[in-house]
Amino acid sequence: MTRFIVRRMLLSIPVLAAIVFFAFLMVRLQPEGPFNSSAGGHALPENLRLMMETRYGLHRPFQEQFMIYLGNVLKGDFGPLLRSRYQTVNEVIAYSLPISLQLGFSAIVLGLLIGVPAGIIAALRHNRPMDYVATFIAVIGISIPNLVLAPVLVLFFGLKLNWLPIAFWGAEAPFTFGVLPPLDLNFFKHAVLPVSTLGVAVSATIARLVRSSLLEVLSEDYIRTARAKGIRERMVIVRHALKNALIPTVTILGPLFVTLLPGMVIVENIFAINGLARVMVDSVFDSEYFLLSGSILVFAIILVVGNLMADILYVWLDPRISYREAG
Amino acid sequence: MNTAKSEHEAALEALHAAKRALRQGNLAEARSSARQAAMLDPGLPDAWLILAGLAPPAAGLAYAQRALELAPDNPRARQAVRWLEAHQAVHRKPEPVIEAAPRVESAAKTEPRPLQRKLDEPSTPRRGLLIDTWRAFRRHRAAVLGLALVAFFLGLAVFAPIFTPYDPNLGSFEHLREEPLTRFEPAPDVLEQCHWRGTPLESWGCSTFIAGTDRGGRDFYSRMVYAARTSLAVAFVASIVSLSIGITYGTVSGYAGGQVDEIMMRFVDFLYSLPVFLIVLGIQSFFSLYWRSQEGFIGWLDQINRNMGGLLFLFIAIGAVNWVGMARLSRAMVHSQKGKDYILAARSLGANEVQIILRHLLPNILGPLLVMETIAIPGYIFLEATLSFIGLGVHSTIRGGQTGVDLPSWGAMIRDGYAGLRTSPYLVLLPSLALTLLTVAFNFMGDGLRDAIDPRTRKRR
Repeated sequence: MTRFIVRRMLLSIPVLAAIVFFAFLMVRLQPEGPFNSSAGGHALPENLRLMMETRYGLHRPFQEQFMIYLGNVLKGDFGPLLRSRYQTVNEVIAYSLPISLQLGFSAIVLGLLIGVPAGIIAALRHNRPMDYVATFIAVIGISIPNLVLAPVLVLFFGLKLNWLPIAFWGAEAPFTFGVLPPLDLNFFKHAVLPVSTLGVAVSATIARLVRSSLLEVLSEDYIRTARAKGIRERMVIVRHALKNALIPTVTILGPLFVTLLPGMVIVENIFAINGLARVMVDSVFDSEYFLLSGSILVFAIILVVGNLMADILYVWLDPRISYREAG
Repeated sequence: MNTAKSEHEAALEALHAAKRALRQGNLAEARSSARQAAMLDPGLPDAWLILAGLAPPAAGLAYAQRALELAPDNPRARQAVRWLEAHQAVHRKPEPVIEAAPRVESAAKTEPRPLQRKLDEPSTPRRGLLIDTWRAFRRHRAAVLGLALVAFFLGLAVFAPIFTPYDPNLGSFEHLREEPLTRFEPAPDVLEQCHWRGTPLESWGCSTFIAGTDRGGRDFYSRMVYAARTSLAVAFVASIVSLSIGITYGTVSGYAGGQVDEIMMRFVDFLYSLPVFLIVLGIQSFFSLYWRSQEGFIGWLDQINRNMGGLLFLFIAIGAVNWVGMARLSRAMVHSQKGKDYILAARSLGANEVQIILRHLLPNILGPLLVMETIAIPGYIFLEATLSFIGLGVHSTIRGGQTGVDLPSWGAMIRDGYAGLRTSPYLVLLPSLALTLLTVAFNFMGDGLRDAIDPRTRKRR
């Protein structure tokens, strides 16, 4: 088992290396340096420009620069913030990353809370009206893009009914333990709309997955055995069927975060939330090269780690998969 | 009883005659005699066997099986049946039409139940028979609805100038944010450009903002219709790009096998684990904002890109990351088809490798690949809309700050209209509706196609 984990981790290293390289290319391949005033309208005095360029080694050969950048990244230094001399990229990431994490995590939790029961009910009432209704709603839920759902929710719940605030996140850095938000009413009021926007698609996906895997499991022989043994239906489902049916759901959580990313970009944009996705997009237009590559890197690391954990979890949970063939 | 006995005797006589004729080489005589024998007494296995030998193989199988039924121990009958069944498997004829049989069978009262094993649905060819697929597809109402919707949008996109009064980028600053159905007095040079000039619609259509204007003074209705072009262009071109690169790569890798296959697939697995959206975002932002130099190859590409409203780099970015799924699938399918008999047969008949791939392999794997691509199209549409929404997609600016062409896009329209959400929600809701409809249409179509191609969900006709 450990051998598999180690091997899987080793396989992620080239991926991470490629992403670091990609992020570095973004910064370095500009025809003009990031500190030239013409590039982003950052008018740095000449001596400061030279100093910054020397500090970040922009006159050295390409490979050396990459090594320097790699070294900096490994030390945790993502570079300077170009629009303000007193902030670094790290600080910006530090206050925006937790917000994105909270948003994404809440969306997934919401998705699970709605999707799993819905999928179970649909599977148990297979081919009856409840199933069709649930499946239909799930297909609609998957088809409506976040881009469409967000303004509709804003219009309906925020503007027409005026129940919920339509902008900003209800909490700000610093957070407890760095990530946990204060769970008060203000936070929840602000969180409902953005999280629901993201959560709809997630719950639709999860519901479909749970339904199909539960249906598959219920037709297995061991379920038949359990029923023949006289175990009550509820016990059969909960103790035998569910545990196996939920394995695909658990392992999809990693890749699910990946699909959440474009949605997060939109939601953070529409709801004016200061998360890392919005910071990343804004940095493109502000020509904040270091911030852009740093935030891409951070997201990529999170996604790769998420996939890694999903793979490991999958192998750990399903005893039928041998570690060798899963690698 | 008497008649029965004499019939039987007559049959035996006919049978003898048949065998004699066979020995002499007179096949026609043998056949007619054997047929006579079989008619007179259907219980003679030898008569059936002779008929089996003389009839075309398709019909002969039924005769041989009848003979086998009558005399299960007869080794010749068994051999005949086996040989004819093998022959049939190789030639894959449809169920045999037995010309002589009806007459004979009516004489025999018992209807011979053919031992015909239902040959398994061939695991290879003809799965993608267009007509079969179309028939199966037609049964899904949702899928047909999806196809109709896609055709509708396609018609809108292709014939956009016919359906709209003005060019979508024509903005005038006197008419910012007009209400729907506002009439206005077009200046003569503006009226020149009306698409409906010379038609009965001119008097009303050329001087009314059918859906009002957006915040740049551009006719909203025209933008809505023209934006269909953007989404559909991205959908089709991106899928063509990803199909071509993916199928080529996957087929080469799967067919080559061995080390080459291993290496190529490692590369694909590596690419597969990269986060797609981030890469696309990175590429788009890199090209659209940073590279301002006009020289060199990239500068030339940039010029083309500007003239295409930003579509070129978008195609490249989306195609460059999405071919991976197609490569994986096609490689897996090639692998599974590689060992099949028909490939071996083609090779032994002298076809060279390229011919084998193009004429035999590809048509068989194309079906599921196309289905997978259709299912991926909503993703492309959504990606384009998202990128346009944040400003990194097609160029859709108010003042056209950069040189080049501007293209309307539903995502960009949502961004533009969001500020007026409270007062004029239709600015956001109409593009949203259009996007949703197109996405839903492709989803339904993809689902229907997938069920139509899969032989397990197809009912046998």
